[in-house]
Amino acid sequence: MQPRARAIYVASLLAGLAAVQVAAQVAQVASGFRPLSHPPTRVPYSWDMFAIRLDRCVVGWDPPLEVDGELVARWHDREAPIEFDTVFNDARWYNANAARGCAYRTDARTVASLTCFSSDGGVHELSFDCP
Amino acid sequence: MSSASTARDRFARWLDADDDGDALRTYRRVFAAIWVAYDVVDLVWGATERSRIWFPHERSGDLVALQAVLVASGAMLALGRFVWISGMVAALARGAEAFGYFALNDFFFASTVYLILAHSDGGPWGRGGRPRWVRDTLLAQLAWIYVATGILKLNPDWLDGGQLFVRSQYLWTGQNWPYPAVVEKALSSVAVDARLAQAGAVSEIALGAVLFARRPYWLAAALVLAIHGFGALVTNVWFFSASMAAGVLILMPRGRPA
Repeated sequence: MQPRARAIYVASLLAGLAAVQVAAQVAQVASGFRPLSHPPTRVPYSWDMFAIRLDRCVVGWDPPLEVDGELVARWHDREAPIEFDTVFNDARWYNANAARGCAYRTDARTVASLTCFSSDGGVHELSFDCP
Repeated sequence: MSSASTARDRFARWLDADDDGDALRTYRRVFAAIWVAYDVVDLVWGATERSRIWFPHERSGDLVALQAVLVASGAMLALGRFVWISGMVAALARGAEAFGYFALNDFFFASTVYLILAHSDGGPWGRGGRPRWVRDTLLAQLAWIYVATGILKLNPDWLDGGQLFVRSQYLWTGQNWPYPAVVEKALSSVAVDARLAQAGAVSEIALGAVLFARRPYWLAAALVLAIHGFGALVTNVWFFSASMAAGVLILMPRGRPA
């Protein structure tokens, strides 16, 4: 490749990288992010790791479900202990999936339970009978 | 000589310059090896597939094919074979995985680094090189990621400690995470989490500044190990943490900048 063509190639590559990441920050501001005031949202290439509001819930069923031939008492029974984890950012999704799990119950009287942690430091316990 | 031609000349000299040492090649191997390990585990366990839908279902053949491409292209990069084409394929495949299947920041990050690393052997116009501009670009990219993520963390949800509280309590309760009792007691306090979160945001911005300044090495090393060691243990993020830490530890110049 000729030096001029190489220079154009590299300049285009760097400009593209910069443009995508500047546009991502502009999108964060456009969606309401203000330092020390309003939190960011999810925008690809804005590097918003751990910056958005979220809930996490621990989900269980009693008696255990039967999923793929195995007894599953807790959501994490089907998860790897490190790195890979099926999570949601909102307690409502955990609730919906706890209810969805009821389809795999082994007993008509199965109770789904959730322990949810929220960003305000709250711990919320909830349980319901599988419909 | 006009300032425009001077800038062009400097740019041309920058593109011609070789990096001293083997840092670029080492980082390419380490980074690719980390993500090949991730993709092999992901492929065997179907982890990304399960992250999309936890309940039993048929695996997506397209996602399996994409993961196989990631393993193959990552292995080629780690071995130093067909670096440009392997890196470009890996960047495209990782971007497709992020946009098509799971919008994970780790995947956006990996796609960006693969794109830059594709040029670490000389790019489409040469092989066997050690282009300085690639190392400079990687360092600037890492620096920007730390500055940007640190600034985005300057918001009440992060600074008040809620994020760390949620994540640590979830791991402790849901995964029986083996925190020592004293650590668990501290992390269950939102006030303690707030101090840790504030220290984290400041540390990330400081690390970004140190990377832009390219010195001192010891401070960059201390900050990156503290940030990602803490991040792995409290947020269960391992592969991304390892690849960021490797980037800083390997690419950051150890002496004064030339």
